[in-house]
Order: sequence, then structure tokens, then C-alpha cells
Amino acid sequence: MNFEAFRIEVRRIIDEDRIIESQGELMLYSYDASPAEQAIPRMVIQPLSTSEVSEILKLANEYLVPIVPSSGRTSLHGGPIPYNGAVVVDLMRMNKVLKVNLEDGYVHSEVGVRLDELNAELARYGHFFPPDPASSTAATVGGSLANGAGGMRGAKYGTVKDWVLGAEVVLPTGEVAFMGCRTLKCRAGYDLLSLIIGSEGTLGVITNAYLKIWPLPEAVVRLRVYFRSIVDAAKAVGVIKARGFRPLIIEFLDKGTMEAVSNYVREFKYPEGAEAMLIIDVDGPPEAMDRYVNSMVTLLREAGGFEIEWTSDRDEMDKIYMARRAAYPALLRLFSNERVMPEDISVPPSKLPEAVKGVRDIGEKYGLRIVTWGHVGDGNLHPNIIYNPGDQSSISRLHAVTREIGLLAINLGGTVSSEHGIGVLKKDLLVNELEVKGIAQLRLMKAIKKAFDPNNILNPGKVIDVD
Amino acid sequence: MLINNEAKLITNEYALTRCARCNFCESVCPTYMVFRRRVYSPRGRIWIIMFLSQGIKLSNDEYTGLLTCLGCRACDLVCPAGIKIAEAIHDAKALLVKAALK
Ligand SMILES: Cc1cc2nc3c(=O)[nH]c(=O)nc-3n(C[C@H](O)[C@H](O)[C@H](O)COP(=O)(O)OP(=O)(O)OC[C@H]3O[C@@H](n4cnc5c(N)ncnc54)[C@H](O)[C@@H]3O)c2cc1C
Ligand code: SF4
Ligand code: SF4
Repeated sequence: MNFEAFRIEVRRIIDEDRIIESQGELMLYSYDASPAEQAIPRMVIQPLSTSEVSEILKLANEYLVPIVPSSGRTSLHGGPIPYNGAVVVDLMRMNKVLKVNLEDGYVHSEVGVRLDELNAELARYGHFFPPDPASSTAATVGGSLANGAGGMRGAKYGTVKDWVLGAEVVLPTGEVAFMGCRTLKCRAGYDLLSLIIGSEGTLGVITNAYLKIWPLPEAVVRLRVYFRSIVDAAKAVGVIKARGFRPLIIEFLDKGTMEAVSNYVREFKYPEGAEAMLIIDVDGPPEAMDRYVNSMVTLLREAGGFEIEWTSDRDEMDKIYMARRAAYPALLRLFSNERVMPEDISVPPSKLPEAVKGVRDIGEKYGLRIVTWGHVGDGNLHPNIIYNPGDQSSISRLHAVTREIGLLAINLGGTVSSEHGIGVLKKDLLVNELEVKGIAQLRLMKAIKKAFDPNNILNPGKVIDVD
Repeated sequence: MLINNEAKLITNEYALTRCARCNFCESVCPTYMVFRRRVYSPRGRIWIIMFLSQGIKLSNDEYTGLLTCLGCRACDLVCPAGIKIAEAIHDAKALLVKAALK
């Protein structure tokens, strides 16, 4: 690496106030939201355009300087951490919504726009971009595409990969390519766009994207139901799907979550004997809602649900949802000396009962408290592991628990990462998953990385290790 | 040295190490929206206070970052960890001004 030569040339093309080199400010780029080891970058550069990103990458490729793309920095597996003296390219200045086109059904946006900002703009047109990670206030378009983010509405609408038409991508060599199409149908050779989505900044830097948009639901009714066992709650999800319902969201909260929330928000009470809670949003045309809700309530009763409540009133809906919204703050405040590691696995929805029970057993085995919630409509669970960052034994147990939860998901036919990504923390688990699914894929992944990034300069050491 | 110790007091009083690094606060901060530099964001500012308590020397940008907080408390409203961000920054500002006047 010839960093000094790179530095001199970068200073020629980027304004001084968009190059960061002072110690304290660099340290702000040394972490993400995960417990991954921190590392300080050598320099942070804030480009304004695709052509600036391209110039930076050309220089990095020439002088062999590792580059780490960075956006909202809300990642949960170490993806945007600049190891080995890498240079961070901070894309937050590329933050314009360029065009909303209702006729062609897309929004064209730069990558530094946050998802909530994007949806606020789209709401003015009666539309929305459905993927909704719980971090949507802070997470950006670019970071979400790069991480393959999902969210609550995943059961009905899938994840970001289902909502991108095309994207402008700067390759590690500095070449610029528009991948995908602006049209819904697109068969232009191999689907390189899909390789970029979820590549965690290892194959290219996305600078703007054409995203599919959808009309806002006409009517929504929110239901809340309790269950006497988590297994019953998980089974109910299977029944909902088997009967042909596709709710907008199905959120699962276990007793630990309800307990934490009730300690934090006084108004929140849950009935005795309740071991789990589901929040379900049903949407559709207004005239069909009564029929939908009646069948849903009957189904939930048959599945063992009790104290079922439903509403279409905005304020009342917010009150029900408060239990889920307050879950994360409640955990952070309840365990103020400890940290929360939100884990992320998916299993086929029919395997949810075993997964929920398995996670609980793993927590007990290692003596760490695990509070589980999840977007269970698509089999996605977030076991939140409470650990003490100041206690080495607690940290080793955290790693053991994470590992066993990942292996549990693999054994149940699921995956070790449904939406948060691999980063550095799940590289081993990814190999475990590929061993089951066919290890030849690891060879292909390494070859793909080499083909995109011959000098291994873009986010090296993330997702997979190349030899 | 003194300033580092006092930064340590602020870090402890407001339990800044509870920051979960979720960055929710950054998206509502008016100064970050204008400057797009993280020393002008709530998360950035409280981490600079923590770094100060560990002994780093502030650069001009980091210094100005702390001093330009508007005290609007938009960040406090969204912080899931319940950190009183604006007050902590206010105390740090007072510390810097006091040190400058000495
Ligand atoms: C409280 C909390 C809740 C969360 N809930 C969810 C959830 O429900 N669902 C979910 O999917 N995730 C969730 N996450 C994880 C994370 O917020 C998302 O994956 C988010 O989409 C990341 O976006 P970001 O802008 O913060 O990206 P960053 O963290 O900045 O970057 C993400 C990765 O992409 C790379 N990258 C960033 N920008 C670009 C670009 N323009 N081009 C190429 N590579 C790039 C980075 O190097 C990094 O590897 C949560 C995180 C937190 C803290
Ligand atoms: S109080 Fe300061 S840091 Fe917080 S949002 Fe307002 S300006 Fe930003
Ligand atoms: S909102 Fe609170 S917990 Fe999240 S980054 Fe800001 S200060 Fe830290």
C-alpha cells in the first residue's frame, strides 16, 4: 500500500472540508452498532458524486489502499468497521431524492437518504418503499441495499432485494456501471445487480438506485393476541399462513420482552399466564376488512389465543404497537450496565416452535438472558442476548450463544443471517451454512470477489476471506 | 489534564457509555443535517466527550462541533438508551469555555 501517494492525489480532487484526518473525528468511524472489535480509519473521505467515488476508487486500486464504504453505520455485524488502516468513504453527503415517477413505479434516490426520509417523501404521493428495518430512522438506502435489509413487512413484501430495479455501482477498479434496469422486467444477461444487493460493500459502491414503490395500503386493522405458550404462538403463525392470509406484519414478543416493556412503560400491562404476544396488521380494501378480521379472530381463538383486541383507529393502533416499539429502549434501560446484542436468524415458519424453544434452552445452558422478538411472519427471529461488555466470561459466553443459535437455525433448515448480514462476526457461521448447502459455493463466492475486486481493496475481510 | 478529568465526570454522570450506537439521534439533529459531519451530531458529540475523557486533544472541528450544539433536545426524544444528550453536551461546552477563559 502506498498511502502517502494516495493521500496527495485525493487532496487534489476532493475539497479539504470533505477529508477528515483528525484523531477524534476518525474515531467516530471506528465502530458500528455491534460488539465487533473497533478499528480507526486512516482517513475519511466524503464524496458528493458518482464521479468522485470513481476517482477515489481508481486511486485506491492503483495504490492498493483498502476502502470501506460507510453510511448510517447502524450495522450489527461489523460490516463498516475499517480494519488494517483502511480509508472510509462516507456516502452521507449524497442525500437527494432525485425523482418520484408514479407512472413507471419507481423512486430514483441517492444512497445517503435515510429510509424514513425516503418514505416521508413518498407518502406525499400516496406511495411507500416497503422494506422497513427497525433502524429505518437512521439506516440509509445505500446501507440497506448493501446489507440486504428487511423488516417487519418482510412477510408480505420481502426484503430490499425484491424492491430494486437498478443501481449505479462504482466497481473497485473505479469503472462505473448501471446494473439492472429501470423497467420491472429485466433479463440483460447474468443478474449482477442481485450480487451487489447484500454484498456488504465488498463488490462495489452503490451511489444511487431506482427503487420500486407501492401504493400505501387502503385500510389496515391491527390485532393483538396473547398465548399461554410460545410454542402455541409460533404455531398460530403457521396456521395464519396455511389458511392463505398474508398479513402486513406479524410481530412476536416473548414474556421477557413483555416484562421489560411493562417495567419501562407503566401503561403497558399483560394478562397473567401470557407467555407470548402477537401483533398482526391485516390490510386490504375497506369493504373487505370486517370479513378478514372475523376469520382472523376465529382462527386465532382456535389456535389458543386469548384477550384478542383489534382496532383501525390510529391512536389505538399506536397504543398496541407501543409494546413492540418500546421493546428495544426497555432492554437498554433495564440492563443499563449491560449491552444488548440483537441476533438474527430465520427458519421455515413451520419450524418456529422448535427455534423459539431451542433459543431459550441455549440461553439457559450458558446462563445468559435472552429476550426474543421477531418478524415471525417470515420465520425471522431476533433473540436479543444480554451480556456484560466488561466481563470476559460474559463476552465468551455471548460468542458461544451466537454460534449455537446460528447452528440451530442451520439444523432447522434456516439461515444464520436473515437481514443483518455477515460482516466479520458471522463469517464462521456462513461457512457452516455453506458446508450443509454445498461448500462449492464458497469457492464461487471467492471467485466472484476476485472478479469484481482483483486487488482486494474494497471492504476486505468482510463476508468471506479470500485466499 | 484537568479537562480530561472533568470530561470523565460528565461521562460518568450521564452514563454516556450506555450509548448503543444506534445512530437514531443523528437523523434528527439539525446541525448534522446542515454540516453532514459527525462531529456536529449528537452521537458524535457524546463520543468526543468520551474520547476527551480518555485523553485525546481536540481538533478545531471537534471543538466547534461541541460548541455549536443548539441544545434543542431533539436527540433526547429519540434516544432509546435514555441518555440526556443535550445536557451532557451543555456541561462539556461549559467545561471548554471555562478552560478557554483560564
Ligand atoms: C436498533 C437496530 C435495529 C435494527 N433492525 C434491523 C431490522 O429490523 N432489519 C434489518 O435488516 N436490519 C436491522 N438493523 C441493521 C441495520 O440497521 C440495517 O442493516 C441497515 O440497513 C444498515 O444501513 P446503514 O445505512 O446503517 O449502513 P451501514 O451500517 O453504514 O453499512 C452497511 C454495510 O454496507 C456497506 N455500505 C454502506 N453504504 C454502502 C454503499 N452505498 N455501497 C456499498 N456498500 C455500502 C458498509 O461497508 C457495510 O458493510 C438494525 C440495527 C439497529 C442498530
Ligand atoms: S441538542 Fe444539540 S446534539 Fe441534540 S439534536 Fe439539538 S443540536 Fe443536535
Ligand atoms: S440515540 Fe442514544 S443510544 Fe443511539 S447513538 Fe444516539 S446517543 Fe447513542
